[in-house]
Amino acid sequence: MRRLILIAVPLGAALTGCVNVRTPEKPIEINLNVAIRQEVLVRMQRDVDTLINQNPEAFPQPPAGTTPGATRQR
Amino acid sequence: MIRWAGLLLAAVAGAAVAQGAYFDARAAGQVGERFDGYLGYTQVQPSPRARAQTETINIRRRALYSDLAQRRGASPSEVGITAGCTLLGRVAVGESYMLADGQWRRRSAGQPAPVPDYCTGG
Repeated sequence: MRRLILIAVPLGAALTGCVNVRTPEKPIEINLNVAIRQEVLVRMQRDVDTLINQNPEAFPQPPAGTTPGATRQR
Repeated sequence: MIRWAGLLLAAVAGAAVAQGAYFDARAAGQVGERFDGYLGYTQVQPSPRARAQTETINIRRRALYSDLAQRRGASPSEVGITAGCTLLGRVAVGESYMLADGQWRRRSAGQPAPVPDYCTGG
C-alpha cells in the first residue's frame, strides 16, 4: 500500500508538471463559448459601428447593385 | 507629396479591385460573416484568390479590434463579438453566416439573418 502511494505521487506530479500549452499558429480560431460582458456590448456598439464604417478595406461592401439584397439591411 | 497622394489613391483603388474574388465567394455563400466578427469558410471552399483576400480582411479586422480593445478597456474578442452583431445585420440574401452554435446557414429572401440574443444594441 505504501509502495503504491510512493509510485503514484511522483507519477502524478510528473503528469501535471509537464502540461505545455503552446499557442497554435492557426490564423483565427472559433471560440464557441461566447463570453461577453453585456456592459461592454452596449458601451462598444457605437465605437464598433464607427470602426466598421471608417475602414472599408476591412469591412468591404460590394459595389452597389451587384448583390441582390445587399441594400436590405436589418 | 503629390507622389504620396498618387500612391495612396492607387492603393485604395487596388484594394477595391483586389476584393472581387472575395465578393464573388461571398455572394456564392462560400465565405460568410461569423458571430465573432470574422469571416469564415463554409463547406464549399472558395478559390485560393478569394481565400487570400478573406485572410487579408480578417487580419485587418483583428488589428482594428485589438486597437479599439486596448483604447477602450475591453478584450479583442469582445470587440469582435460586438462587431459581429452589426456585421450579421449586413448579411445579404444568399450569403452565409454563422451564429454561436457553429452552424453555417444561408440567408433566404424575405427574412434578415438573425442576430444572437446578446446583441441588444445600445
